[in-house]
Amino acid sequence: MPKKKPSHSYCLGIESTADDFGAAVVSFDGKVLSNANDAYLPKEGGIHPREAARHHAEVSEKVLAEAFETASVKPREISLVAFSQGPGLGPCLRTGATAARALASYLAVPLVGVNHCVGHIEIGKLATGAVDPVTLYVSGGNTIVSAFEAGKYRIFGETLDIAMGNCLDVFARAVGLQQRKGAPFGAVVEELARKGKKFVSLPYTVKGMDLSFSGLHTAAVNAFESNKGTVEDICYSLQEVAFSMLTEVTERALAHTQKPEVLLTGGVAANKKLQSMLKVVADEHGARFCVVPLKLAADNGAMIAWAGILAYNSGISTPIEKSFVNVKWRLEEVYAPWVEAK
Amino acid sequence: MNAQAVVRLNFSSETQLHVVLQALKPETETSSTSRSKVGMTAEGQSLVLDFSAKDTSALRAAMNSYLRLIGVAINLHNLTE
Repeated sequence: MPKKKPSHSYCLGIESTADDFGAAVVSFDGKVLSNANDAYLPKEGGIHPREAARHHAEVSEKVLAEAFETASVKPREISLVAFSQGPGLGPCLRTGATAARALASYLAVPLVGVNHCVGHIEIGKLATGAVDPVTLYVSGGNTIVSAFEAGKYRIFGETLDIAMGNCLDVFARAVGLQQRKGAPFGAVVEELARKGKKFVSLPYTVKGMDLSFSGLHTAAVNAFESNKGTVEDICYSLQEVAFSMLTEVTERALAHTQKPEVLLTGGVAANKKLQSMLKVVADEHGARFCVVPLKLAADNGAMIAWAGILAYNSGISTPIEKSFVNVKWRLEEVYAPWVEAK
Repeated sequence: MNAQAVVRLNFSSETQLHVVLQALKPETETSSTSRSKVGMTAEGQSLVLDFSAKDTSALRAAMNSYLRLIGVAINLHNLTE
């Protein structure tokens, strides 16, 4: 099938790595024209991959239509389709990939598979103007301290078990907190933490440059169940310990690389306490502190579209027949020539 | 493999059939499980899915997944018209 040559124009980005199905239209000069989203909210427990995929399939047409309508862009005006190719939950990734392949094929435009982690970093850079930051990417599925070096975003430190956001989610669920649309568990914990008065000792686990949150989560739940403090006290203590761990590793990466900026991105970037702790570290090292705006912090289609544009402009595209999803696609496996081109 | 099923879907347009085939083909080549396999071919204006699975549960899961994904690809055709 002949492919249109994208001279300028728009990229459609589709995000579907976990609980969010997102679609966005972004112009090739970096304007986010729409960023539609529908999140799968389980009645109880965590994300069931098959149920989340079922949700994505049900809402895909509606979310994509909303993305086009909000952007005032017709599907035929799209020059490029980008999709989250990994890492993520297999059934969810496959749903987004199928939608992306179908649209690229219907519209006869190129397809680009995007690494989800790269998407978070690049949208943070776009939104804040950061050029060469040490990035702390914290979300429900990933916890990574990264910086660009020799063609790739290198991982300086990461979680050895569960992600920071997952630690907060599982803790919140275990102590009976409720999330709601627009207020995920992380926001609920943050709200309660502000009312905490007593610090309860919890395990601080940094191993080299890596972090561990599973023991911390268990200890926090145990502290709550053995009445060592109120739920507010435990939330406060959990945040203090976990965010101190993140801040320590980020600071060490910053001291080693001497990068001029610190970028905080991912869903947990919305947390004001974490922002304030990282800002102190950035200031002490003379680095500019940048935080991704709230509307682009959680998983979204705009970050996929923008990373897709950057990759495509560097000559990278993904033939449909080779657009397999990659559930374990690591950040440092991605060659990112567009970064050096700047 | 003990459980098998063949599903034939008739399309009104060859374009739509071609698109659905393209969109789903990579999935048949990278099965996420060893419990089932799916073959996919175009015959005239029909898409033929050939499922084989270790048991009926795996067969049902594979059929559900593929039919749902095919639904996604077909529904998006409306958007592009």
